[in-house]
Amino acid sequence: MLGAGGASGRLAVWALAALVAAAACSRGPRPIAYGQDGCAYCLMQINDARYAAELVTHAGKVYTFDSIECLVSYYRTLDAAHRDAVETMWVSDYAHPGTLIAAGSASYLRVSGPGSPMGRGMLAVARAADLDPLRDRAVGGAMTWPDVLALAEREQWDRRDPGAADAAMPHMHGSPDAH
Amino acid sequence: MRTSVTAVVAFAAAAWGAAPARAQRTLVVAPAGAGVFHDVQAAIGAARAGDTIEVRAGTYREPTVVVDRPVAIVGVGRPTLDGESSRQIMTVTADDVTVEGLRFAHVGTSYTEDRAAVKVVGARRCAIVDNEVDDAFFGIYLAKATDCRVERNVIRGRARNETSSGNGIHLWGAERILVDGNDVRGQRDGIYLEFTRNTEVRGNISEHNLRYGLHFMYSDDCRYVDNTFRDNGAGVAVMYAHRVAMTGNTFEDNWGSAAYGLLLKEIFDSRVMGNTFRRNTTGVLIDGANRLVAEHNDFVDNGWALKLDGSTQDGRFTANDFTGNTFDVGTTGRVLTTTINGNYWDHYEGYDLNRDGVGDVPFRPVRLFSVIVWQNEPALILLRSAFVNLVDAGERVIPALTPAAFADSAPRMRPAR
Repeated sequence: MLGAGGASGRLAVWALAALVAAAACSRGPRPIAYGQDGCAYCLMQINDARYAAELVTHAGKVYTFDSIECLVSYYRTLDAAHRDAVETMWVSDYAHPGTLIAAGSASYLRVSGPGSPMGRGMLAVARAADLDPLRDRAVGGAMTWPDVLALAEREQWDRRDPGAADAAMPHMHGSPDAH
Repeated sequence: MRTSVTAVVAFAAAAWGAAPARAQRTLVVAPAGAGVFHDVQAAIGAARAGDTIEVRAGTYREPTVVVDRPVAIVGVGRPTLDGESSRQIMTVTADDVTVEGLRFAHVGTSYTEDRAAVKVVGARRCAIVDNEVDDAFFGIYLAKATDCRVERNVIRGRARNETSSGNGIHLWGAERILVDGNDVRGQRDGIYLEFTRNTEVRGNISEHNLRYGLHFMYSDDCRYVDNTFRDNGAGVAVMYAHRVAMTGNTFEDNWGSAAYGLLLKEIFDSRVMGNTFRRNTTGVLIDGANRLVAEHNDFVDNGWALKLDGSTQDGRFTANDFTGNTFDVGTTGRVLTTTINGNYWDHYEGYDLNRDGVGDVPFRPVRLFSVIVWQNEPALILLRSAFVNLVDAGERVIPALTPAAFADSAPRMRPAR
């Protein structure tokens, strides 16, 4: 009886260890708790599943962001050593809110008008074709992750607020939608 | 519909005879009856600039009403415009439009558009007054609007979860708007301003919203005065803004690990005067503020009265009262170029031998234990222990970990207010 109990106890320990190992190896994004998690960069509460982003370090520490803009700005403030500690970065698939996709393989677009949490109108999708319905609001063409980093460098996202002159501000025609 | 068109033609003909062509008329909309319109859009279609459209009691279900000419739409007996959870209810595109006395109900959620009960797009001099908004995605939404008034509206959101709720009063790219005496609850943010300038938010009540009672983004030269922000998910956030005046507001009952009365993030040349911060996890959280002046505020019964993070430069805190707070001030220990002289602290244990009302020894509001708790929240369970009291007492005598220069050199013996 005692022996049997010990065996099943050992089994449970092994099962638990396997589970922990599996979790550690999966390296996926941690789901964002909308309405609870805060943005590690701007401190806002994260609400909108179309724009949220995430950064995971080698040590498994998770930083959540309300927007692509905040992920990029945060990344820009890291020195080389801290950038080396970054394991993965994730952005939301605008076409499938709540789904996080790898930042490096997503397609990006900037759109004009209200909506994005930080006012610059950045969004991402897994399938480039999903950008097609957004073309009429687009400012510029589709971008890759390096394009986005270059844009943030050009516009100094972590230093300069978007303003009236920025693309995310509305034009008198086209946007915002008047339905 | 044919009868009502005939009616208005007859009416117009009568008006021609009796008055100059441009005289203002009143067009009546009612659910039934002869000689009236049966939907709001038909009345607008027949209206001329300056006309009043009187909407009688009843429930109207029609496609999104587009107000494309300067008219007043006035409800009598609180008629309901029902969006049937599938569409925006009213879009205003013309200048000089008044929308008053209506009830808007059931605006469906959408991931692709910011549907609202009333959306004003690019118009001037609108007045959205004394309406009720129930179960809306966004409530009253002004995009690129100028010189408008949003007054005495009552907005009751569905408050299910953040992702399916929009903001109660949403101003985007707007200028010179007065938001006065509204009552907003159950939305994502109660009142939201983005890229909005020269706007005043006065005498509103914003409570039980899922995220912020009030949220400023990139909105310069705005004032908010005499508002009450209560029990919102995370409090009030004023972010990335210049020259904001915050006066006479009450921030209370914002509890939660990430909640605060007021978050100031990247704020320049702003003033926080005569506000009350009561029963918040953190009264005011400041992360990046330049030349902030805070005077005559009351910090009562908060977990932390004041938390200073990031660079808080050239700020001045004077004549504020700190009573009943667990911690008065927390900092991340960086060099602070902010002065905190002449405040009242109930934790002050100094004396006033010359009886000039000013304590004779400085008060250091940053407790060592508060520094430990900031970095390691579970340590909070040690708060009432004798050991922690001893550590704090030692730190007061010989500051080692807390910023020694950060002290009130002229603490008041009595509250300022």
